[in-house]
Amino acid sequence: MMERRFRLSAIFLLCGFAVELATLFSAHPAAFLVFFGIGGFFLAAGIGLYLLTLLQTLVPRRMSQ
Amino acid sequence: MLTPTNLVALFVILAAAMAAVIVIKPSVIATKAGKIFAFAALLVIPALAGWAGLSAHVEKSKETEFCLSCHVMTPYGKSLHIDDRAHIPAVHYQNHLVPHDRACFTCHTTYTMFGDYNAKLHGLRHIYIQYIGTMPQHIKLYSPYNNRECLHCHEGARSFEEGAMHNLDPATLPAIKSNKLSCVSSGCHETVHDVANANKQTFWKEGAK
Repeated sequence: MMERRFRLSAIFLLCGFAVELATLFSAHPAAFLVFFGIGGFFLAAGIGLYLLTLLQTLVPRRMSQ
Repeated sequence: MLTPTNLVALFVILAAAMAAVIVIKPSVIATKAGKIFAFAALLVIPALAGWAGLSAHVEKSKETEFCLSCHVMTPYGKSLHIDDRAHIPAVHYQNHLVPHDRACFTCHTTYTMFGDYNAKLHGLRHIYIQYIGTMPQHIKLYSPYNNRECLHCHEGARSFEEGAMHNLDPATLPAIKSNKLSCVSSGCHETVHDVANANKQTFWKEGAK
């Protein structure tokens, strides 16, 4: 379960990095919008899913101790 | 060439390679070292890469090319090439008094503690208007142009401090420095981005000689 979620998180991050790389060299407002909107969404989703998974696995373990 | 943007790109590639390891072999997180690797690959490095990307984009948004990529800004870009010394932006651009690649930002940021952030917030509004909102009929500044932006470079310069017109009346220079008398007032440096009459002008051809 944890491995699957971490994998999904990494996939989100890879999508975010792909968007970041695709827009990084362009000096155009559209590139900024795509980076901020789409890339930012994927990066936040990847990091968020990782943190959520950590919380969900660590908190019950602490509670049972 | 190792430009800041290239460095960011290299860092993003490294971050992607680390994330790819977890996609290809998620079982690496089973060990303690794997958990530390996952912490770096899924949290620390992506956060840094995202921040670096955002910073790179913010820097790019200061470039002349960025500002002039919106169709509505084309006449303003063209006005930088007007062959007339009375046109203040043109004189600054053509004589390298402002950096060519940051011509718009140099004069249109505010030289205050949070001036750059304010300029970027305005920029976000411009992007919204460009893609979603309605373009105004006449483009104008949010507030009258503040002398502070001119004085950021010109204050202390001999040409400014000892300028004949600036010293004709002893009250003029203090009035300019306190922003009571605008640099762009009528009779002074009043011709700024005169896009309405641009078709009547002759233009300087960059690199023609």
